Amino acid sequence: MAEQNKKSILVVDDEPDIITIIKMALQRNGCGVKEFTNPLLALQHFELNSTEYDMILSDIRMPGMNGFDLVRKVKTINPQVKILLMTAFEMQKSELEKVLPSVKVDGLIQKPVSMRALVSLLERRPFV
Amino acid sequence: MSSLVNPSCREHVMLLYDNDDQRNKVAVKCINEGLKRGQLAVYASVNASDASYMTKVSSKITNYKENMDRGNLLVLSLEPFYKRALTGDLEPFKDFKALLEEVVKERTVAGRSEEVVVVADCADNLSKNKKFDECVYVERWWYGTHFEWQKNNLKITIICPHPKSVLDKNLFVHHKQQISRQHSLTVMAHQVK
Repeated sequence: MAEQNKKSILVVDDEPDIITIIKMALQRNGCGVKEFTNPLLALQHFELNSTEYDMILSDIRMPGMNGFDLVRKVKTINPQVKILLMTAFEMQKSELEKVLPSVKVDGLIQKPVSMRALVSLLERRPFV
Repeated sequence: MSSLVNPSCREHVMLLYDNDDQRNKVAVKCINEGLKRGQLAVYASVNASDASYMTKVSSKITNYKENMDRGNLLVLSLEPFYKRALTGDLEPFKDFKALLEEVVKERTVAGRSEEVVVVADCADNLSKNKKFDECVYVERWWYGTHFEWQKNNLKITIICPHPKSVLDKNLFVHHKQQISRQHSLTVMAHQVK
């Protein structure tokens, strides 16, 4: 796990522009960020570094592997890591769990992602 | 009635209604019929985040809470879909499609019914507010999605209500035809028993 107060976040989105914006905002708030536009590469990286991250922030629709599959695989590797899925619609975590019980997310955040909302999620105690 | 949620139906339905009461009644009928058949029923509405509206609708849906808790019923707010559709942005629809496909996959693996009935009123609100170009854009997207689902043998029926009172006006008949062309079936709400 990263330093006590500095959160380490893995961001996965196939759109480089979105990643850049999120990365800059997270870094401004003291987070360490590693980003991937390819979910398969992100998963490979996570397999080797699964204890390095506090949280994964992922898009849903990506080529090669969707966000739901990524969540399932990541939680198998390290169930402790928090995962936020970015969706373009409003949905509560509890609603998602009812229709997709195998996808254990820690939260959903609506796109376009409001940096204020994201940062306030990160500052929450317990985390997310 | 049963034809709309029949597993072999899998249509993209334009449901022409006379008034909101009739629309809600038929929407609830379709949801209840889908639930009765063990299908996943999705009630996707621009009004879903309006508590008083949902109290009325939910009271008419069979075992509302139980069906929600068991993942048989999904209620989705289409408000963000509507707002973004006004700017020609269909990203929420694409995420919704990805979610539905994932849910169908998971239900199939779990041995549950792979059939889905969706009642969605975003295009309804667009036509009601005379945003016809945006409405056709949304329905054209549904048309393509429905075609893709048919091709992939996904058993998903989409029911799109539309206000007859608006679309039957002489001035808007052309729009009615355009919207109708995006559907595989047009049904009058009063004929749904």
